[in-house]
Amino acid sequence: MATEVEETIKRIQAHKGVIGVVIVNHEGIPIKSSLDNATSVLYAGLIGQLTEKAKNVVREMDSTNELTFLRARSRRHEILIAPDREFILIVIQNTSD
Amino acid sequence: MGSYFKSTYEYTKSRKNFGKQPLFQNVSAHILDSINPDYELQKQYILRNPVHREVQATSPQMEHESNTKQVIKHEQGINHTEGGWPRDVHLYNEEHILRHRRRIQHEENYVHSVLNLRHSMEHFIDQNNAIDMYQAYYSDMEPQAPVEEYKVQIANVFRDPFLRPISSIVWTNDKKSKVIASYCYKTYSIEPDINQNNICYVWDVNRQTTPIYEFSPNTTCWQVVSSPVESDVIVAGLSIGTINIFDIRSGPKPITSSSIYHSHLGPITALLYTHSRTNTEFFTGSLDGQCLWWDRRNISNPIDQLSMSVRYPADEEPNLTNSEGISSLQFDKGLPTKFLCGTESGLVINANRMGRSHSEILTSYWVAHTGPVRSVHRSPCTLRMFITCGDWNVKVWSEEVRSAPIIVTKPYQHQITDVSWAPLRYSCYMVVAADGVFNYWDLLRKYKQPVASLNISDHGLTKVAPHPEGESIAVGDNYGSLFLLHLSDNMIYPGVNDKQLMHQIYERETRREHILDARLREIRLKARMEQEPSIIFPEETTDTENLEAEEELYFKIVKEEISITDGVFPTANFSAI
Repeated sequence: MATEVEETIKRIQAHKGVIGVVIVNHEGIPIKSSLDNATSVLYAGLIGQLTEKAKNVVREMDSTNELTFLRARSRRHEILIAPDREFILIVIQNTSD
Repeated sequence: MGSYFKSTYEYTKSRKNFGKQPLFQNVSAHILDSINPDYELQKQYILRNPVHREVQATSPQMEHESNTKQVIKHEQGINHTEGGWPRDVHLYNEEHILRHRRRIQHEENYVHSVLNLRHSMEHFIDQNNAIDMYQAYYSDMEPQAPVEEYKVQIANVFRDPFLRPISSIVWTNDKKSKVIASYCYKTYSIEPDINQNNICYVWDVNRQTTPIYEFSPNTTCWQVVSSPVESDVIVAGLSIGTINIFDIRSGPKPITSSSIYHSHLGPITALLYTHSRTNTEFFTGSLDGQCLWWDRRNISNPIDQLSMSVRYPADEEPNLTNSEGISSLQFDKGLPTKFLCGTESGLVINANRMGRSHSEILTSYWVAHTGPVRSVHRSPCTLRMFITCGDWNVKVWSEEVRSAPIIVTKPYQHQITDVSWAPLRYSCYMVVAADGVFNYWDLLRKYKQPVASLNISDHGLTKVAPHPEGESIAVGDNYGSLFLLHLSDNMIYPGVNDKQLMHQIYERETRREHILDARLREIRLKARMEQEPSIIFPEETTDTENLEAEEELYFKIVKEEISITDGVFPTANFSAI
């Protein structure tokens, strides 16, 4: 099963335009990352906070609703954030196509 | 700090040396000593007068300082680079970190989560790769020109219970505009009281059944105007030539009215506010042929008077006997010292208040219509162009051209009662006629017929007044009904190039008239010269220095003659011309 996870991550990385994949746990530690440590830590800390905030926004608007996906599109690339109960899957993809 | 020593000195003294107890005994009074006053000594003293003595009467006060304990603050930043690791894992220990990570990776939870999340993630990645979702689509397509649809609809009708014809309509100048309408039969009739009722109404656009205010002038009201700054003040001009001022807040009766001895001698046909610092001045015109200027604050006497005489024999002074009755006035804030006046005899007079003599004030006039000029308005596009209506025609004039109107449309079947420019749209004007039809013309779109026309009433329409923002038009008819029309957007707001195009039309037509005028003058000159050639020529050749100019003129005249006679004479070589 651990290999499945590895395979998944490799598959995602193989997609066109994907720059990096980071998996962060709820404490803000990057568990698995395809980028260097410094960048991963940066992403983990910042995106963790962003996800919390976004989750709160959706919850406050409608208490039965919950955040399923978050996309932050910038000029150079797009950060795709898939939150979960405990973990957050982050993918950075190039958008200049 | 050194140590503190207690310094003491011990000594003993026996009790018997303290001293005996004092024992008091009663002694009778006896003189111990007597000192007599020495008057010599007294001479050394004088009475001190005055004596300066300082006294202070205050309440006993005390000063005491105290201060709270000082809190010393210090700002410091913290750089948090990495955290969240559990207590036993040290950041600097790589093995710990790795071990921790591996431990988490083997949890059930982890595997489940990642496998769950990957679906949606892959979906979105593919989506991003497939298409650029956020681009502006169709941005390089040219925008289509909007279809211009002209629609006029009657939005509301306000009926007068007494069915009197509407004599004047005006919109108030506040944000939620109201319509003020005055009603009267404008005829000098033999039956004394055809005008039984003088009540005039102020209507709110949204309330159709009853007016929100009523006001009753002393006699029939021919003209109404609303103050530009105070929305509750209404000025009414009456058929006997006096002015009534109303304040809606105080009641239906006029608060002041002008004295009949100092007002007009005929009914007031035009009433407008002029430009003044206090915004309280207005002027009136009447069929008696004079214009009076008033200040709203004191209407017992007019401020200024002007008799509209333009055609009078040279030996007479301008006065009321040779003046023309005024049927309409026009004033624009953009030209604060000038105004236009339409007369009963069909003239339009251009007046400049800053002139010093009478002929400077009434500078020029145009012969406009064969009946009273019912309405004069300057164009919002260019102030030198104005529109007039009267008899069966509507004509657009230019101030620069004296001889003829620059734009003329086909005469109507019925008499035209009022015309007005569309306030915001530069190329449009609207006309109401005695057959009850409202016509809306757009000079840029169709030249020969109105762009929209609507049969509003079975009876003739008397007045049209557009709201200054152009969306609603108030039209009044002969039977007391006040119609509120709504126009479609393209009739209210100008097109992109409208102002430019309208200016071009104005320039072009003015130039055409100038050219025609010059040509007519030439023809007349030539005709005159044919009749009396011997007299004219010596006068023209008095100045021998202008020989060449004379030559040119001569050749030009000859050439014209030739062109008229269509080349019967052989065309010589006029290269000198």
